[in-house]
Amino acid sequence: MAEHMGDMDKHLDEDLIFGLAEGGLDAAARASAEAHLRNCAACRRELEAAAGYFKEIAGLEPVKAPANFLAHVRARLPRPSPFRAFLDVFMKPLRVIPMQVALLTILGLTAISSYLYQRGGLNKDAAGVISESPAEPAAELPADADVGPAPAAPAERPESVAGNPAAASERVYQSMKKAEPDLRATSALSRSQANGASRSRVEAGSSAKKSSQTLRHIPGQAQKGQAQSDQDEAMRESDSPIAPDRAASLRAPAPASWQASPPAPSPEMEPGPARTEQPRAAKEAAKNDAVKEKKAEAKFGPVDKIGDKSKDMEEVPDSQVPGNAGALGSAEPPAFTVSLAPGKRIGDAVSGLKAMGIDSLSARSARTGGEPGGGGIDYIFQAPASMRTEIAPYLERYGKVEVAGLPAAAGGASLRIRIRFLP
Amino acid sequence: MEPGDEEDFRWILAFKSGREEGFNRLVLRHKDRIYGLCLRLLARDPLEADDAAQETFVKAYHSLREFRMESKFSTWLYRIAVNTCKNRLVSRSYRESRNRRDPETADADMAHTASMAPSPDQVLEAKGKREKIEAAIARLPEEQRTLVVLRDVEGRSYEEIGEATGLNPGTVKSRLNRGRGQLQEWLRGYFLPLLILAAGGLPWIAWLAIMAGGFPRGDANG
Repeated sequence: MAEHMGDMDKHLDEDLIFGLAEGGLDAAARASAEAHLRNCAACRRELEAAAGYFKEIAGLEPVKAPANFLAHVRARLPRPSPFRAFLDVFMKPLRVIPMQVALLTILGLTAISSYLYQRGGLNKDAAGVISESPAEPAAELPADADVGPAPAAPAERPESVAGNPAAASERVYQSMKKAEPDLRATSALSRSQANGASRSRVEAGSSAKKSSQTLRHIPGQAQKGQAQSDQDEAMRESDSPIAPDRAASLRAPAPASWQASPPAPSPEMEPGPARTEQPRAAKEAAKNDAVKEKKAEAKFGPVDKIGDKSKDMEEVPDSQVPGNAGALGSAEPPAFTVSLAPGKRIGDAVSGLKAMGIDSLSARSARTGGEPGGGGIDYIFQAPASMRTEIAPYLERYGKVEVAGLPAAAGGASLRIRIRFLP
Repeated sequence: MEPGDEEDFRWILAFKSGREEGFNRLVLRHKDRIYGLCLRLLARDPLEADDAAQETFVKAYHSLREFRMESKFSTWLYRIAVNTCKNRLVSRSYRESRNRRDPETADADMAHTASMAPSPDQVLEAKGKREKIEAAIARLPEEQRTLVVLRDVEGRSYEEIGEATGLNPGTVKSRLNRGRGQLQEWLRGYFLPLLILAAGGLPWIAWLAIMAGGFPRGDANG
């Protein structure tokens, strides 16, 4: 190719020629080149040659790579580790499903599962399943809050347990035996009140059934050798509402306010309202029973259960009560008579006693009018002898307490005491 | 962005996410172009071109995870191929120059290229126009050959060629046109007889042949 000078007055250089043939010149350069071509045959021949070149080059057929080219390339690549190969197989679904969709799906399923699990937990609680935590009001409340105002000296207090136990306990024991037949007559009414729950059948049935499970500690383990220390330890470790070191602070005279205000009629004595009160108390008692049962089993060994409350309401054979063999049918007088303070409930008191290790054998309504303290509910408890001094101070938290005297410890191991709660 | 470039990026992302299939797809899409480029840059040596093309993809495999997709994948691949072929030419020429023990060889690359490229006679002997053009391309110096193949054969833009070769677009144009001119001149010389025949110059060829004494003459003496 003849060398062309870049001067437009002479000939077009090869850049312009090829640019013009390729169509890559801007408008100004193209116009100038075309103006020159009109007057220069040599440049026109060069332009035709350049166009021919492009035509020839464009006619070149594309080249095909050799066969199995990809296989040869892969053969030269490093092989992935077995772990990587396993990961590729394991993650194969993600090749179809984008990673983002998979992550969103996993997060959504996790959220739904947690929501359903929480709902299931709530429904479980609503069904009245007894929880593990011992909801004992007596244990949770501080002593000061439950006791109320500073107790003043009681106006009348027949006897103090700590003062004269021997003669009073004997008298009480005899009177309790005599009162036994009267209490049996009221067992049917108590049973109907307990069973006539106004709440759901699940709550009433479970609570009635579980609260009726009377617990008896097999005396062997807890009362061998260091019985006193074991009981104290059980009281400290359990949710006992009263610590031994605080018992003295509670042995204060009942406040005057308790005496001044006459006890209101117990709603529990009315057929109608009593039905709502009994199931509630029974339910709470049932919860506490279950908790106590588990703790007792852990500490004192297997617990022997005595059937349903309904059965116990009628009769608890004395022969089944440790330490009371031989005494049958006699209703002993109440060792303690508690006039409930306003706002205090029998169920709370009973729950607390059970937490202390005092077993509730039965509950009977005393409807024998005319007797002192008649019209209340009697509870018969089986208490370890070591807790003689703990009962009265505890009961004083719920109202005015009249102590008739504790019976003698049957067999030296346990007491069978009757506590009457007056509304 | 062209649809082909988008597909390249999609397979690159698949490869980066751990799917080997992404790399396989890229090889299948660009193997013919890279092989053709290597074949023409390496003076039509099929074995060398195959090996160079495979080496190009192997290098791309090891560097693909760091590829940031700021330019076209094909441009990036072309650059690897050009450098691979250049290294092969340099190493080959170094080995041959060392074997020849010719200290006066100034441009080992040019000498090798000249030795590997077909001679003008071989170009003339090549059958068909395509072979002639291929042979002429193979005769070009390496740099001009690279530019001609990338621009006129592969159809790359000046910017892409600049990225692949490391030259600015202005330099690409000037050196490219120089190579085109050389090619054109060679092809003109090759194709001139065909042009003449196509223009109906056969009688002229006959006349020239007679004038040159190509036809036997009668002898008066017997």
